[in-house]
Amino acid sequence: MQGSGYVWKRVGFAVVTVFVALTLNFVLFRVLPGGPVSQISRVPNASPALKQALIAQFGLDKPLWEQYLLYLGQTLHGNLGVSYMNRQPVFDNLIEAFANTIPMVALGTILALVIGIAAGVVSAVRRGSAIDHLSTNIAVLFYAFPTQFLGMMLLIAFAGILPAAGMNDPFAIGGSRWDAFLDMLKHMILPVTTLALTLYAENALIVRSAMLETLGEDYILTAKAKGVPRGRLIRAHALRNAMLPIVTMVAMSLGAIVTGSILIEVIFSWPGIGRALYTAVLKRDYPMLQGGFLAITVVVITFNLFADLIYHKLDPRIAT
Amino acid sequence: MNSALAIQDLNIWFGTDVGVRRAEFHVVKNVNLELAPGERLGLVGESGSGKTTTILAAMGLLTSNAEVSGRIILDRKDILRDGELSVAPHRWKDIAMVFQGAMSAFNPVKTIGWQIAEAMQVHGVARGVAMSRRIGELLELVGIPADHASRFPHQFSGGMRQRAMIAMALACEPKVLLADEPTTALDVMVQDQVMKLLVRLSKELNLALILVTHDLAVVAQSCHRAAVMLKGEVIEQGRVADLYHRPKHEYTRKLFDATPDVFAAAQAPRRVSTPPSEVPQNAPLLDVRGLSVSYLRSRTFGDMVRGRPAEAPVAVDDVSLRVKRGEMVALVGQSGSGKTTTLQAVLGMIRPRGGSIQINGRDVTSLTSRQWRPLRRQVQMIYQDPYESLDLRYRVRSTVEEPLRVHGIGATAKERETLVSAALDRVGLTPVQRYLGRFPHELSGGQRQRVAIAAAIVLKPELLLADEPVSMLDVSVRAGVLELLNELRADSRMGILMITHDLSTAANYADRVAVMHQGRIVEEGDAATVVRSPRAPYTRALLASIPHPDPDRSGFGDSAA
Repeated sequence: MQGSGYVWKRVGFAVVTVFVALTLNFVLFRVLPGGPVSQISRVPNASPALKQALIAQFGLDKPLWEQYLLYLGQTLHGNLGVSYMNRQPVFDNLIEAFANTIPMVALGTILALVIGIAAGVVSAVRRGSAIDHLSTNIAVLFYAFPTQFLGMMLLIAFAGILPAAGMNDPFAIGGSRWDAFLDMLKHMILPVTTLALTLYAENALIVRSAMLETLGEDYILTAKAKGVPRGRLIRAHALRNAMLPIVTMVAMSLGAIVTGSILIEVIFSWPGIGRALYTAVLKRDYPMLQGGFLAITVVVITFNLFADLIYHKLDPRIAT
Repeated sequence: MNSALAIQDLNIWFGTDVGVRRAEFHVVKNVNLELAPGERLGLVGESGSGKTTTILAAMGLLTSNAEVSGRIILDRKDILRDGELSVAPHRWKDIAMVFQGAMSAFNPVKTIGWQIAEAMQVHGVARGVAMSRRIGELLELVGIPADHASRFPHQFSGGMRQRAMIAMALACEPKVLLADEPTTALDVMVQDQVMKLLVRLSKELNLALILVTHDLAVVAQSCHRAAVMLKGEVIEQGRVADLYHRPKHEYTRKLFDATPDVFAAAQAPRRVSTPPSEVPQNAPLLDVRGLSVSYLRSRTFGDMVRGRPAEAPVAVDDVSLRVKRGEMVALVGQSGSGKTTTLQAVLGMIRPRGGSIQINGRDVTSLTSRQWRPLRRQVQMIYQDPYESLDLRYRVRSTVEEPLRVHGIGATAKERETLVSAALDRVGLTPVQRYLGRFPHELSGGQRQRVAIAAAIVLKPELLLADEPVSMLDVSVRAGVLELLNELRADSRMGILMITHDLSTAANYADRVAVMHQGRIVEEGDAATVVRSPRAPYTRALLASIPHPDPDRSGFGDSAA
């Protein structure tokens, strides 16, 4: 395959972007008002000496550039520091949070993709029909819905029937692993539904317009003239080409989903990365914030890189 | 008569709106065509005459807002009778089609081989090893190496793509081939190859062919019979030789007359000619010397890492050109020969790598865009596609007035309006009042190009650069636009540099012709001389590939009729 140049170029850009993000991450939290120590030292009988000791312990008395170099060096060694809040390594905190977020986000995204692509394709193929109007209007409705509002509404409507908070039942101790898994699935229903509904709408609209465009291309007419049956025409010719813009947009939005999950995780008290970051912001937990945002940056950049590489696979015209 | 395909009483309406209001357009009216096995029929007409709609109907490929009546007889059966159900089994197996856009008729993300294979799989014609072998055979039949099957459409040139399309059309051994403007987007030499291939295949495989085209010369050289369509009706059909020598319908005569004839031009050069002595011997208006231009490819990441400069392929190499006042010079060449690049360099849009450009004695080679601005009054440009060069939201008045505003000519609106009217009058859009308030979509292609010319000449430039000014226009209006340019040259003493891929047009209208090939000018001289006794081998090859509207001349099949 002639195209390794393309792959390396993409990977190179991704690495540079990560470094820039790393630096911005450092600067950003230093210019925010409020300090970490003022929060932690807000205990009865806190003396200025305690405050000083904390500052020294966290290394905040060192000059900024030294803090920066330390930060860079440690980050590159996989050490993201220790959380000011729970004194655990940030790395471990993040791993745990991501481990909780990923199943929920992945399930929501996959649902959103499947429903979105199906709805978009049906709309495009039956353009102008009642089904198209219905589907498009529903999609626009959900697209316009703020996530937090939709989440609240679902919470109000289903709170009694389905578990509304957390990712497992704290009192269900002693069940088998299978029971625990089923319990988690049950807890997932509401957050996943919220995520899937907000995302599906965007996918459906993108797929519809991409499909309409490819359906009008000359090669579709060629395929029709060849006698290609309708199903194959839509799959192998129209959708295959419509996938090109879709892949880019979906991959771009995938990165944003992790951040978008902040709202959902806070509403449904899901102990994932979104909620962890939310808490860290409130508590000015610098290492946690830096680590968290770095992780999100890396996720976004990785997904974009994925998109580029998949695009490269899907579109033979991209050679360099 | 045992016909391969018969179209009987075909009528097609397009509903603009499927609803209560049935505002319908009757686009094909009572068309009857019959085709014997191995016969080649040319379906000729201008854009909008219904020729493409007719053949699309024969394959049941019209969009759902079309209403069709009539019969398409294949094997003594009416394949339209039961709609989709009765057409589907015949598509590609009995009737195959070659489309106009060689560029976009292939799915860009699948290999050529995959797409040919699909046609066979769908109809269960072949599978497995036999199918792979058949793909190779088909490609070799059209002169493409068999191993090219694994390539993607974008890796093929335009001509190869069209030949691959023909290979795909033959995959299921059809009896009838419908070709919709198969060579329109191709250069004349590639057109020559593709047409020869079609004629050869039609003879070898006893394939009935309907060739849809606006180019009578192509039909004259490849078909037995022709049908001329005008506004949805077949107004005349018969043997090509009869149509050429004894047209019954005035429109047929007009079409043949409008078809440029490079050979006639060689005998009696220039329809409206100025004796050479009348061309003033003053300093040239445009003097290009040793121009060379190279395009910088943007540096890749790898280049940057290795500290390598971007590659610089040469687009224009040592080109020298002169245009005098009152003279029309044609720059002729295939696409990619560097003619448009030359023009852009003259306009100051591209910085040349070497050589000099003088306009009216002033060196403009390295002027900045700010220094260029006052000069733009003297040099104006006419573009190829009047459908894209006009702003769709500007009325004719605003389009023509804009250059005046830009250059601050005409103190009052009234003064400018007078100038605008004069320009429109000059390009033959009269009465002017009728056109001033119109939008481009309310004009025909020829009228649009006239508006574009009016916007160019409203500044009274001395030098007019025209990039393929008629190639997007219908044959019958081409002559009018070229005639207009000729008048501007003769009466207003403008110098005109016209780019064209069509040697016939050049020979008919230009004083001098420069033939460009691979960035260089391979031959230059008096138009009639170049056509009558070409010196460069490339010019000779170019001339040999131009189809002649007279069917008796040797053509694509050498014994077409």
